[in-house]
Amino acid sequence: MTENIIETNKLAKSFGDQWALYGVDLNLKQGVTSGLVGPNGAGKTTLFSLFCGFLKPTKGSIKILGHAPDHPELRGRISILPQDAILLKAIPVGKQLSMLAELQGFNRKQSIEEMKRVLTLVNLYSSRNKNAEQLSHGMLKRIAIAQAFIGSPELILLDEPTAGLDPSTTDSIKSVIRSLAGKSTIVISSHNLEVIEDLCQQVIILKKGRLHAYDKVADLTARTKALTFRLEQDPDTHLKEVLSSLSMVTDVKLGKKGQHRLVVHFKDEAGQMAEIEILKCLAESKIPYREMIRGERLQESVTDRLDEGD
Amino acid sequence: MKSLRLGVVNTLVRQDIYYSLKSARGLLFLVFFGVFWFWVLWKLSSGNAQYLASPEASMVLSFLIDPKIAQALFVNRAPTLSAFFYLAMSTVPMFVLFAASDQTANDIGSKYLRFLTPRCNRIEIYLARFIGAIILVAMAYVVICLFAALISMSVDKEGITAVLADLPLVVLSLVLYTIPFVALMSLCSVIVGSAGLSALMGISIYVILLTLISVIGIKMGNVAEIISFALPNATKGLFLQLNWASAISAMMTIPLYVAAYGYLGWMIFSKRDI
Repeated sequence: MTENIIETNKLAKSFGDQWALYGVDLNLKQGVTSGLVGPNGAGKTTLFSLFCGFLKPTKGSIKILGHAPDHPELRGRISILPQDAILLKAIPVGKQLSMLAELQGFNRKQSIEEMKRVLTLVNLYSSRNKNAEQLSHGMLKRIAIAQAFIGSPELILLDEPTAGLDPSTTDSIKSVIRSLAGKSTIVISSHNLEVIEDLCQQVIILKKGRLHAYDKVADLTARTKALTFRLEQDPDTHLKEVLSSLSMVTDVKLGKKGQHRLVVHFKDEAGQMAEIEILKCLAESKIPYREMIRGERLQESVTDRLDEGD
Repeated sequence: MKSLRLGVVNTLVRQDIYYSLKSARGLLFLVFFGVFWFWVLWKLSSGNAQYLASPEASMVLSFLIDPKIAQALFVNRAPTLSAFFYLAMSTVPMFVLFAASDQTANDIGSKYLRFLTPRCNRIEIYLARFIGAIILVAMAYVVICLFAALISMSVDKEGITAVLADLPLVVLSLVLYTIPFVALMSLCSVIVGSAGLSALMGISIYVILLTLISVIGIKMGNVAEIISFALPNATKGLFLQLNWASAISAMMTIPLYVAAYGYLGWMIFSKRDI
């Protein structure tokens, strides 16, 4: 299970004079769920669209399962949730899914069964006879997700799978993705880093069209050696000095203005004692906090990574 | 050839026709087409076309259209069917440029193709949309030809045999004549992202070339004739003679138009971002 499922070599894409992506070298391993993150304009959707063959590279190359993204060998082996594709308006969504299943090699009877299966996965079987125009944005998103689950694809590419979904639906979609994780390699592009943290083992960070970092999520989140606080207001540098003076504290990070964030890293062996000391120090400094999380969240570490070099 | 799976093309064609019959765009064409021909056939059903078979009318027609065509269509033939055929051939650009305008255009604009490309190869989509458009247009013309034949049988004195003798060639000529127009629209619909723009582009290309040919034709007839072969209606004169020999000559040129327009369209569609 260590074969590369996606390989890019000096991949670049320009739109006119503007380079949306430049010099991206990536190797994604089979069976690993990866997240693709970065700020707006970082090149996530462009990279995703290049993986899917929607866009053609300006420079460099991509191999998906050993083939170019447009290669006939890939038909039915990969599935995609495109971010902004629109379903046909005049045909019921259930019919559309069975049509797509037929194109994937199912016969008519099987395609109807497959449509039932995937609509049930996203809790929308009862809406199968409705046209796209009769469904809400969130429901259409779930239908689009359902089409990505048709068949048994080896690679599933999901672009913003939870954008526009309510928390309960997000959880159910996450659970479906989690259930597929062992069977397929999944790549998720999302602004929602909680989703990436929950579902992915690796994270690809893009910034200004370049590959900024490619790390294991576990390495970025450092669950046992840090405390993350959301404070009532932005912490000042004095607090940083006070906390840094504690012997078991190894690093103190203050969030950007308006984030009200404080991350305190401590020596692994200090354990619970360190946590107590840090909390005591905050109380003595009269710094109230709204939320405390053990470890550093992906949100914070990705933000830090993106801030590097600015 | 793995990139062209006929089973997938067949499924795509079936789905395309199903969507055409359900969508506003397909229905709009069929309603527009149906209303126009209902009105024309209703006029023809009163026997008005029989005058065209008279010697006086032949004289007048010879001034208005090519005398050879006037003679071929209205001498010793059922005039109602001939009048229908002439009108149908003349209005093909109007209907087909509209009916075939959305082979891939709207799906490029709405990015629906992104649901198809993980499952089908681009060549399969391109070919299926072309075939789907031909079938839709052909079905419409076959139905309208049958109605015209029934009316001709009931009003023309030449009788059922004369109408039945001409009907296969009328249907075949009309259907084949539409194919280069559909191919032209294959090209237009891969360039733009909406059916409306694609139709506008097709009509513009057609009108600009027609105007160019007319203007150049004043001074340089030979050059104008050469340019006129770029238009999808170059076979019209041959089909209008309504005989098998001319029709077969016309049929031989159709693959050239399909290949030329189709290949250009495919070159763009295979490389473009979707």
